[in-house]
Amino acid sequence: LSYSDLYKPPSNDEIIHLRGTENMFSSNSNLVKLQFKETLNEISITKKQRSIIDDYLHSVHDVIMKIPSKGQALLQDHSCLGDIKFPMVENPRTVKGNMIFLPPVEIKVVGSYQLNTGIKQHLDVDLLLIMPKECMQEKDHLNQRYLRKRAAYLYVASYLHANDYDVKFGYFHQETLKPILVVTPTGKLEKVVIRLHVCPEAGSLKVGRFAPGKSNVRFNWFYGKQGEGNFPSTPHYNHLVLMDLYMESNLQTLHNTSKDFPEFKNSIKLIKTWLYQRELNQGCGSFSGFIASMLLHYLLNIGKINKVMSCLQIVKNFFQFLATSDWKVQGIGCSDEQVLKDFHENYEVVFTDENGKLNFCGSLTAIFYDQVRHEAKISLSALSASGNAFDVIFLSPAPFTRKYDYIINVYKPKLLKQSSAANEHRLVDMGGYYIGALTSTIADILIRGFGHRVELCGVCTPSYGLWNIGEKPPNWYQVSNHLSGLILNEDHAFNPLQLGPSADSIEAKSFREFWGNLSDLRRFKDGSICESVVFGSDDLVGLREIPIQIAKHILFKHCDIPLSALSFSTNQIEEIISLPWKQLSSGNYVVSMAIRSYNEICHKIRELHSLPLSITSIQGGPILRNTEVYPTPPFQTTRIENTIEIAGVKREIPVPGQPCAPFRKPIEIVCHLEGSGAWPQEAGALRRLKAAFHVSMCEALKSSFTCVACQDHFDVIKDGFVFRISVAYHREVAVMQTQRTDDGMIKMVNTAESIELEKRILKLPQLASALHGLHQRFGSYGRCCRVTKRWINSMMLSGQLRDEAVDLLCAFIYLSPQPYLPPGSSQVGFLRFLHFISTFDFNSTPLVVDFNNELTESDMNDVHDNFNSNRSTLPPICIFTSKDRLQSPWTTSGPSKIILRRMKDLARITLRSIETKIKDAGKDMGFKNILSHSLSAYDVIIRLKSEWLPRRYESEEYKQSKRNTADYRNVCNDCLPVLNFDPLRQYFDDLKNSFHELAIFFYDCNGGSVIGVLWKPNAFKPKPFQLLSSCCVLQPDGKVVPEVSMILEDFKIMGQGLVDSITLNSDKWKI
Amino acid sequence: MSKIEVFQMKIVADKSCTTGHTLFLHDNYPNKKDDEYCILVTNIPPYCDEHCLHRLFEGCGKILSLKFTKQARKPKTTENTSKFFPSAPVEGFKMAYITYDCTEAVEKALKKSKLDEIHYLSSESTKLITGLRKWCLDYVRNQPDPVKMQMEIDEYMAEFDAKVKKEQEVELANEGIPDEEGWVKVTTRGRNPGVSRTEANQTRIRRKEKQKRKEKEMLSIYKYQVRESKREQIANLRKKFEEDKLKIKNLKESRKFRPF
Repeated sequence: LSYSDLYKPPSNDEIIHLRGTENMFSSNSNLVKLQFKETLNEISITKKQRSIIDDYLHSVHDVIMKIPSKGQALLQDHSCLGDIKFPMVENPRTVKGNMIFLPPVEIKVVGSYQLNTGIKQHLDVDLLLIMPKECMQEKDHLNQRYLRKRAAYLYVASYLHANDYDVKFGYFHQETLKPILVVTPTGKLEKVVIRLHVCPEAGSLKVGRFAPGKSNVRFNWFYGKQGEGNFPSTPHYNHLVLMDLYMESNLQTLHNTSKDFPEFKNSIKLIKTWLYQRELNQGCGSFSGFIASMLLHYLLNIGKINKVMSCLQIVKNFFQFLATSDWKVQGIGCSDEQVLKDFHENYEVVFTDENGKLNFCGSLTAIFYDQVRHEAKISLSALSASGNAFDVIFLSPAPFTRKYDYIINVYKPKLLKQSSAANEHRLVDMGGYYIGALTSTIADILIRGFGHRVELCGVCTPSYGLWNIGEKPPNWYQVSNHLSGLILNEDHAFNPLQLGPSADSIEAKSFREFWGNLSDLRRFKDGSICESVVFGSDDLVGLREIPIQIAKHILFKHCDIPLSALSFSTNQIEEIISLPWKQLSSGNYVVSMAIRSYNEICHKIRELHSLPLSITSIQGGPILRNTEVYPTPPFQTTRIENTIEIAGVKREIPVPGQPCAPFRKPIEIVCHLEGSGAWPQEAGALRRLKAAFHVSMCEALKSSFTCVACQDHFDVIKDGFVFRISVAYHREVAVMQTQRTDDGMIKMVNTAESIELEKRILKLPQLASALHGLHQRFGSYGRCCRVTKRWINSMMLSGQLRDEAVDLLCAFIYLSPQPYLPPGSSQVGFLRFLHFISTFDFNSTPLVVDFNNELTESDMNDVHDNFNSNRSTLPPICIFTSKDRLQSPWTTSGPSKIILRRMKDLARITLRSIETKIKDAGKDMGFKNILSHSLSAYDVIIRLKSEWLPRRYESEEYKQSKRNTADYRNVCNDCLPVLNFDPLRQYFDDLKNSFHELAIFFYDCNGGSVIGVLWKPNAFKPKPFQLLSSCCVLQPDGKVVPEVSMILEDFKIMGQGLVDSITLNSDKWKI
Repeated sequence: MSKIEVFQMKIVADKSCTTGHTLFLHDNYPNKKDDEYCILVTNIPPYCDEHCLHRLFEGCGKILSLKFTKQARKPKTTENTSKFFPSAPVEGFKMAYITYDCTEAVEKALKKSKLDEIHYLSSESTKLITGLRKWCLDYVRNQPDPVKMQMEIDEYMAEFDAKVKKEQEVELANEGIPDEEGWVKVTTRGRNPGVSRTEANQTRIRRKEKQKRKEKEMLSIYKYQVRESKREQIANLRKKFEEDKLKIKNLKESRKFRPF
């Protein structure tokens, strides 16, 4: 705004307007209002779209109404359908009755489109073909006759097809007994799906026949036996028919309710969005948008919501009601207790209409219902907490694969058919659909078996998609895998003991039956004798396998699912961080050994009394955070070559021409000394005094350990681990910052060295302790970090992102898990990380990692304000913590914007490939393949000699080629191994220092033997000559250009002995 | 500005290399003083160390000093002769100041540069050490002998202590004694200590003063003051409104409202 615009005299209206919007952002509710409004705009269907759709529907209507009547045919004879295949799997094939093909009485628009409660992005337009009374016969309610007539009636498809409509068959809500016809328009209406349902004319079937307990499918008919047989109740079948019969009246009810109640419609839209984001309304037995609408109607009736409420209030009450009621025990909808009781006997979840005739949740399975309640609880708590509740509830997706910690994968669904667990009556009811019948059985078994070990069980039911009208419907087993998911309760999940009831109680028998031969009688310390199951495992890795053991056992025992048909995609991803040494297959073992030695060393150091200053604190570094990808194993006696001796201590040294020893990293310890006036206030003297401390501490410790003193640290060898201890003085940073201006004033100026030192001696120990706390809270955190880092490295992005930054990003995944619960396995943590990285808007949102909920809301606002006003000076990724509210110290050195974009792309690709692997793959998920990476993107590829790479042992190829079975009892304590010697890293740093203006370099520090080079855009453009011009030739016109041959030669010279070959991939440098 | 006059000199690492680099030699550099005989060499490749450069240029005259630098500014001449605590090396492509003892040497050095003549960095006696061999050598070099190191430290600290002591003595001796213009320096010692002169202290004092002044000011005495404050208020509101509008626009643009 210009000056005159700012200071012109205001009009009255303007003042009112300004005052009204004054608190737009200061109060949260206004922002929420805005979010609701904008989101509703995004998902609502516009008038223009409606008119286009309406025109299209009219044309469909006209075609169908013109269909001639075709006369009568046997119901089981499909010849009259012509080219169309019967859109239903007939089980059994034979059925009595005749079908008369007559044009529909009427075609009605129903469902969400009619009510205007649909979502633009998932727009289903439901058309109802009303089948005339004359089509129906007596006894059509029996033995699937009505359902088959309904399916046969979809013969209208052939007429639509003849009129050039794109028609396909599909299942309504994946309900295999209810096929529908799907018309997909082309052109402007590409995303719209038109679904044609069939329902009988009013009065064709008697409602009373479909009361919950009634039997409408004869057992003997179903199994092809003669005679009447017994009459099992068929609640599912009854429900399917009733839904058709009541379709119109339900619609009428909703229509009346929503007529003068716009917020009602808006709420339904939002709730549907909520369901879509959580995949709760997809698949067989799911919580459909229809149930949600009816529930809102019910809430209005019982006065929980009213017509003056806003969208937000309605949604909140909806969640509240879901979270606090349990329809599995106490059904809702009808006031008659007896009726509800009848329903409860036949259905898992009960929500009836007012008259008590129809259960809206007739096909909703208990497991889905529990998921809905669980999600409602999470959303409700997010709403009552501060922060970005709206994002969490409506805008962030929570798909199956990223929600569950452990995923149990039945990858041969065909085998389910043999499973004896699906009881016969249920199969009769479900029309033989064994996967559907088994789903709830499996869920029940899992819930019973896991008990308090899990927070929630979930299933991902198969989806059959659409098929052409000329094709048979897909076989039931031709689907992606049958997935069940578990969210673990970390307190109990890994407990090897499953304690049962006491031996003499009544429940003991059922416990024994459930666990079979695993169950034993045991006497416990308190004297009680109980049935119990103990899962065998002695180490940490074994403990993590316990949920898998349980699942295998109970699924085999109770569902007859053989082990060969199961796979578990949970710990498989940890293959990529397993160490090449057999005994140390997981890094945790090394870390726990290291921590033991660390504690002993700390103890010894604290006992040193010969020092002139006392030690105030000792703090450990990265390995103690448990987030090192491959922690260095203890050093061994058997592998020492090339040593020199200085001051009486043998040291291993690298020698050119001989293969390089494995890479080892010392464990860093910072030892803070007390402040004193004797400390010099000059950087050079301070550094020397610290060196003197190192020498004298070395002398003092000599009697207990082998010690080696250096300028900036001293190394102590204990149990084969090398600890690199450095002394710190708390005012050191200030000394480095101090500068004297020309007129003698003292000024504190941050220099590169002072910032680096501050990070090393002050911030890093703080971070390490916070992350250690996190690791105590979430057992999988460390492994998730390691998997993530391994992935980043394998994408050749080593050195672009500091380890601490990755740790913090993972910490954010664990500390702000909404809309999920905190991850319970490294896999799900990693998947969420990938999704987070690929979608998070780093440019306009700061990332706040709040370790112990220290930040209040106003603190958060301060962080946000500071971020917004200083955005241009802050790095591309900003991570703030309660200790660093203004600066993001761990991301200042990278990644740059280009790298961040590349990381986002790679994350998206990897995420997609992993998720399809989980859904479709067999026994071995092949997660190792996610580490493979194409080199085609780079302009130059530098290949290195692998015998000179100390970290070659960490690469996947090496791990597969041979297993090193070294014994870690012969640890070496008297020789200092080669430490931190990584030629690859040095070469990379040299290249970066020399050519950072021309190119970006990529490498994989975990055993990669390739460096990728990408020219920067404009790197090879001629530039005017300056003093600073480097790596270029001077042209006659006075400009300078870099020359590729020169650069490649430099690559070779700088990496002499290491470089194997250099390939120029592209000629992008040519101008 | 006139075109930079530049002399070029072709160098190649050793006989096996073909392309090499061109050093640029300047006798005109920033802040040039008349009484020094110095040339600036730029575009020195990263693997060329001080010995190499010394060997290339020593034929022209006696070299008094040779300093690597990353910026064009001439580095201050504080020698660091410490064996155990050397200054950080200059990485990557760099430039160097070579100081000779006479003008003739400078002229000779500049004339030496011809594009068609190739100079080799590596000679029979001193091979250029790069890559793996260099890193291995660096690793071994960085293993100090603690006894020798301790001796060097003791020496340095003794010197340092003496220096500090002397400074203190001088300061103590001058305390309370007025200089030529009669000013007495306030120190943090003594009966009446002053605040130490740091930037933080000064800003604090300034802020306090400003606060005091503000408290004394009266804002609503004259009509124009009231009028102006009202105008200011409305302007603020307008500014805030614009900012809010911008925020919403940003939110919309970053698809913050799109669920799918």
